[in-house]
Amino acid sequence: MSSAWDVTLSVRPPRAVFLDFPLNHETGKAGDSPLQRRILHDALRAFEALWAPGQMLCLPYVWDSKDRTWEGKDYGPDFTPYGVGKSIQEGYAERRLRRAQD
Amino acid sequence: MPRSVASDVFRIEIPVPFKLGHVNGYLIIGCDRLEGHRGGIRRRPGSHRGVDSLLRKPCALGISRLCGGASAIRGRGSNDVSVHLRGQRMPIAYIRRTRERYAHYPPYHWVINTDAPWTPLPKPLKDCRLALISSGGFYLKDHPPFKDNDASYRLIPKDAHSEDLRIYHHAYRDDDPDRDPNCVFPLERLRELEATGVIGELAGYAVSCVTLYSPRREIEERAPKIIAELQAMRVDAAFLVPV
Repeated sequence: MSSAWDVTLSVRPPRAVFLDFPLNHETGKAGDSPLQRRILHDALRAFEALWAPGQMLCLPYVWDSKDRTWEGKDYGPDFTPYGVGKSIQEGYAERRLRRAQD
Repeated sequence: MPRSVASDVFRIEIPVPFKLGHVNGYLIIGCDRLEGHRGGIRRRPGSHRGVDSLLRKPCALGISRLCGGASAIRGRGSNDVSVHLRGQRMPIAYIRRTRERYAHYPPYHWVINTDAPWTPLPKPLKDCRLALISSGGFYLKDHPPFKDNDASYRLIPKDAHSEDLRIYHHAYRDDDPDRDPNCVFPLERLRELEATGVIGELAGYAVSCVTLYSPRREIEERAPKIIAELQAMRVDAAFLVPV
C-alpha cells in the first residue's frame, strides 16, 4: 500500500496499490471501518489483477471531495510530524494509544 | 479563483522510467509491458462484485481519464513526463517535498530500483496465507518499545486486541493511527476478510517495525530476518503497509 506514489515507483515493489490519502492513512480513515474494509478488499485485488512486475494499481477513493487543502499541507512547509523532537527529548518515552489511557 | 482549471501541466519527477495505462478504466502505472496487454483484468468467477463494478468505472485519480487520450501524455515511457490535466491535480510529490523540507541537510539517497522482482501468486488469494507487515512502529504493551532508527521488529499475534497495541515512531503523525490502528495497521479488517473467505488465512503473526534510514541496513540486517519469519509461518503472500 502506498500514499506516496513517487517514492513507491522509485522503490518498485512487485505489486503496488496507490491510495491518494494523506500519509499515515494508507488503509483508510480512522474510525471508518466500512471504508477500511472496502479499501483493503480492493487493494488485495492487486495480487490477482496485476500481471507484471512494478505495476501500481490506483484506487479511486477520495479523501474529501469538497476540501483538498490537505494536499497543500501534508509534508509541506507547515507540517509538523507529531511527536518528533518531543519524543527524542523525553528519551523515547512509550507513546500510548489514547484509547488505552482511558 | 476558477472552480476548475482548463489545462494544467505537471511535471512528474520520478527517477525511473514508467508508463501510464488503464485497463477497464482502472489506472495502472509503471509497467514496461503495459501496452502489450490486451486481455483486460482477469475476472474470476465469484470474485468481489464491488471491485468488479469499480473496474468498470473511471478512476478518480484524475489522470486516469486522460490515459485513454494519448495526446494528454507527452514523452510517454520516459522519466520526464508532462501530463496535461483538466481541472485535476497530481498526487503529492513527496520526494520533492522532502527535498525542500530538509534542504539544509545532506540530500537523502532515495532507493531507486529500475526493475522489480516478481513471484507469481501460487494459488488464488482465497486459498493463500497472508502476512501483514507494517513500518508503523506498532508493538504490544508488554514488548520493549522501538527506538529511533531501530533495526529490530516485533511479531504481533493475529488475534491481538487494538487496546493492547502501542506505537513508537519518530517520524510520522500518529494521532489517527493512535485512535484507530486500522488506518495503517489493518489487523482487525484482515481478520474480517479472513472470516469472510476473501483471504485463505491470516498468518499467525503480523510483523511491525520502524523506519530505518539506511536501505543497506534494511536489506542486510532486518529484511533477511523478516523473510525467515515469513517462511517459518509458510506465508504465501505479504501485504506491506509502509508509513
